[in-house]
Amino acid sequence: MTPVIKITNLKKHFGKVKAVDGISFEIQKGEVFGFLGPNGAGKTTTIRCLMDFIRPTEGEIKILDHDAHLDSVFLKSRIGYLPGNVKLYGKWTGWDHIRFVESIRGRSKTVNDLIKKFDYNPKARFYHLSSGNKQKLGLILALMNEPEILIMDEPTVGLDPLLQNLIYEVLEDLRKKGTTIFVSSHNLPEVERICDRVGIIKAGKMVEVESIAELGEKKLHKIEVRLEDKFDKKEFQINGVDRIEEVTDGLIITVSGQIDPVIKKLAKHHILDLEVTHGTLEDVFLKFYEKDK
Amino acid sequence: MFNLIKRSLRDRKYQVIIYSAAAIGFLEMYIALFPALQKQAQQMSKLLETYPDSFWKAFNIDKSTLTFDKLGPYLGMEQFNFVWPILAIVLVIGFANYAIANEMEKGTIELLLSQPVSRLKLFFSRYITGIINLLIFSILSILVIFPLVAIHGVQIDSKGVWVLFLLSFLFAWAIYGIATLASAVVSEKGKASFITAGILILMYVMNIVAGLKDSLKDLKYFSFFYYYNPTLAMNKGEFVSGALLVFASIAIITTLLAALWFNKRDVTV
Repeated sequence: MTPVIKITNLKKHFGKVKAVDGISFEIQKGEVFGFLGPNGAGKTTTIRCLMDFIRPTEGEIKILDHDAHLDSVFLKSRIGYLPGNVKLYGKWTGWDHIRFVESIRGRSKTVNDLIKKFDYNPKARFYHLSSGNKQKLGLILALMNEPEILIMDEPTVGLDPLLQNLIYEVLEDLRKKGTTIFVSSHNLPEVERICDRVGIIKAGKMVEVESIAELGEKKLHKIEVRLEDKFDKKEFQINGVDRIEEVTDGLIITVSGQIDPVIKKLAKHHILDLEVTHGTLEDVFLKFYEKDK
Repeated sequence: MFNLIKRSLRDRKYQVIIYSAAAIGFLEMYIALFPALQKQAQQMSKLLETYPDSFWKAFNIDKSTLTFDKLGPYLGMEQFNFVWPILAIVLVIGFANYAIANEMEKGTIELLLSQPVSRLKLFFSRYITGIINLLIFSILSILVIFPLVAIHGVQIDSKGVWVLFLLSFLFAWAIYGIATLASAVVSEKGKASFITAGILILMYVMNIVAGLKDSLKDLKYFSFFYYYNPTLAMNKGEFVSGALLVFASIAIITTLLAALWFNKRDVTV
C-alpha cells in the first residue's frame, strides 16, 4: 500500500546548522504518527518542509504520492494544518477567519459542529482571545474542511488539561474516520495516548521509528534490592545494566531489556528485600537521548 | 484570487481613505489660497527671484516654470513637489510591507501558505491590492483637482493634470515595486521600510548633488526625483525625457524579481 506520507533522506540545513539531517520515514493511511523530540530537534523544520513553507536542502517528500513542493496546491486542499503557535489576524473575528478560509476552500459542513464542540465564540476578535481560544480557532480552521491528512505541531502546548483532553477526543474521532494524523510533540504521555507509531528525532536525525507497543516493550526496569551479605557492585555490571547506584545495604539497578541475568546474579546473595518497577516511556525517551552522551 | 484581493482591500481601506483625505485637504488649502496669491503674483515672483539658483536645483524645480499666475505650476511646486510624494511614498511602503514582510513578521503568513493557493497567486493578489489602492489614492488625490477648481472658480490646464496623474502614478508604482522587492527579500517590515527609504534618500541626495556640481550632473539619471517633475508636468503638460520608461521598467522588473524571490524563498515565522 502506498504510504500517505513518505519522507526519504530529508535534509534541511540553514548554513552550517543541520536542522534536519537525513531523516526517512513513512506514514500509512489512517495512522496517527507521533513525532517526538525536544525543542530544537528538527520537528517544526520537518513539518515546514512537509507544508512547503521551506524547501529541503536534499531528499524527497511525497504526500499522497505527490511531490510536496511541485503539487503543493493540490496537497494543501487535502491537508489541515495546525501550527505550533497559532498566529492569526488580530483585528479579525473568528468568523472573519472562517469565512476567509471558506472563500478559498469552499463552504464547510462541519464548522458549526466544531464551534459547538469546542465551545468557541467566533464573534470575538482574535487579539481578545486567550491562548486556549486561539488554539481552538486554529483547530477549527484546520479541521473545518474535513482534511484527509492532519498535520499538527505541538497541538496541546500551554493548554489546560480540559482542553488537552478535548483535543485528544477530537483526534480519536478523526482516527475512527480514517484521517491520517501527523502530530509533533515533546510530551510522551500525550504521544502514548493518541499515537499508533512514533518517530523519535534527535539533533536532526531520526533515532527510532517504532509502534507505541514496541516502544513499551523496551521499557526499563528499576530493581531496588537490599542484601544481607557482602556484595561488590561490579559483579552486577553485566550486559543490559544501564546504571548501578549503591544505597545503604543495597543497590538500585536500572536494566534495559531482559532482567533475568540480573535476577540470577542477585539470587546468589541473601536478599532482604526486592522491588522491581517498570521505567516510564519517558525513561525510554531519555535513554535515546543519552545514548550518544 | 479575487477573494484574497477583496479581503485585502477591505483590510486596507482606512489607510487609503485617511491618506487620500490628507492629500485632498492640502489640495483644497492650496487651491483656496491661490486667488489671494494670484493677486500678489508679481511680488511673489520677485521674492522667489531672491533665492539662489542652487536652491531651485536642489529641489529639482525649473526656475522658468515658477509662476503664481497659473494654478497648475503653483500646485506642482507646493503640493506635488513635497506633500504628495511624501504621502505616496509612506503609503506604498505600507502596502508593500502589508503584502509580505508584515505577514512574515506577525506569523500570519502560515495561514495563507497552508491554503490551497500557489505562492505566486498569493503574491499577486496582495500586489494587485496595492496597485488598486494606489490607483484609488492617485485618483482621489490628483483628479480631485477638477471638482475643486470648479468649486473655487479657478482655471487649470486639464492636460497638465492628466500628465501629472500619469507621472505621479508611475513614480509611486516604481517605488511600490522597490518596496515590494524589499518586503519579499527580508522578513521584517522595519528592515524592508529602511531599505526602501534608504534607496529613496540616496536617490534624492544624488539628484541634489547632480544639480549642485557639474562634474556629477549625470548622477541625476539614477534618481527618481529627476524624472518626477510635477512642475514641468503642470506648467507645460510634459514629462522629463525617459520618465515613463524609467518608472514603468523599474516597476515591472522589481515586481517580477519580488515574485520570483517570494516563490523560491523559505518562509519561516
